[in-house]
Amino acid sequence: MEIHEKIGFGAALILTALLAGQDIREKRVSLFVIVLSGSIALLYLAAGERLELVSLCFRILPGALLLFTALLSEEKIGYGDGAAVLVLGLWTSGIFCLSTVSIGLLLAGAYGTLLLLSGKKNRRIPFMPFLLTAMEVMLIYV
Amino acid sequence: MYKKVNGYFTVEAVYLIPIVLLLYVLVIVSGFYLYDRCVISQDGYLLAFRAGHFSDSAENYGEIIYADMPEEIDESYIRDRFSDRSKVYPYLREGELKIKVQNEEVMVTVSGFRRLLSVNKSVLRQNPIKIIRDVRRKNHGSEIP
Repeated sequence: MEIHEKIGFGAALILTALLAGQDIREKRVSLFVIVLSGSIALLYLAAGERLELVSLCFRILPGALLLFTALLSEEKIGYGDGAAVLVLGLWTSGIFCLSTVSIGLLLAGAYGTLLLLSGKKNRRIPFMPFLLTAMEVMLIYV
Repeated sequence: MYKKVNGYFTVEAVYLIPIVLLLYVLVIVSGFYLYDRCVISQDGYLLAFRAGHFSDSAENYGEIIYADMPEEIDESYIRDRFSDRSKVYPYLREGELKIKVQNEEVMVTVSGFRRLLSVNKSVLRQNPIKIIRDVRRKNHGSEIP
């Protein structure tokens, strides 16, 4: 792993950890933190001369898909999750981001099943803690 | 400035979103596959067509057609150009290229992405200089009958 990748993964981990804390407490995440982190990620990419249009499209694709799904489903998933995944993609890569979201959804699905089995329907699940766990799984095992 | 946005999934969304995401990804991946297949087919045909004509296609030399075409074709002409394309087309990464000349035909087979994509193109070798000469001979020096 190259140094710029390590910095990117580190920044993504810090961002996800920050948002996970907020998400558990309030089920809401700070837009300011997401926008600030996204801006820094763009500047970081530009400084390293890695800001190419095709690569950028791949990076933001998973987040954009989640935001689009949030729009279509009338916020069955929060816009905050989509925006956070979008910034996560900027710091890491499109494939890493998509894999992380898939693992996160798997973990959230298992938790959702437990909730359903215990009779707690119509509950809202904070997604960022699962995304953080998924990132750690990806970084440690994959 | 410190506005907050929702960061939750409803329980039913947890089951639906993976399916929706999978569908999105499938559509995007099939789009890439079809596009790559089209451009690889086109490149394969064009390169086979051109390589079948050239007598000399050294690097930075230009492509030359002599009247006396050699039996063998310059395979490096096709290989060099496909190696450049593998950097651009995702399905051509770790691809395999086979070139064969048989019965006056140039056959180019390109397979990539664990043989998921396979394109086979064959082009008849024709020598334009010989064709023009034959027509002129037939028409007593003129290209128009």
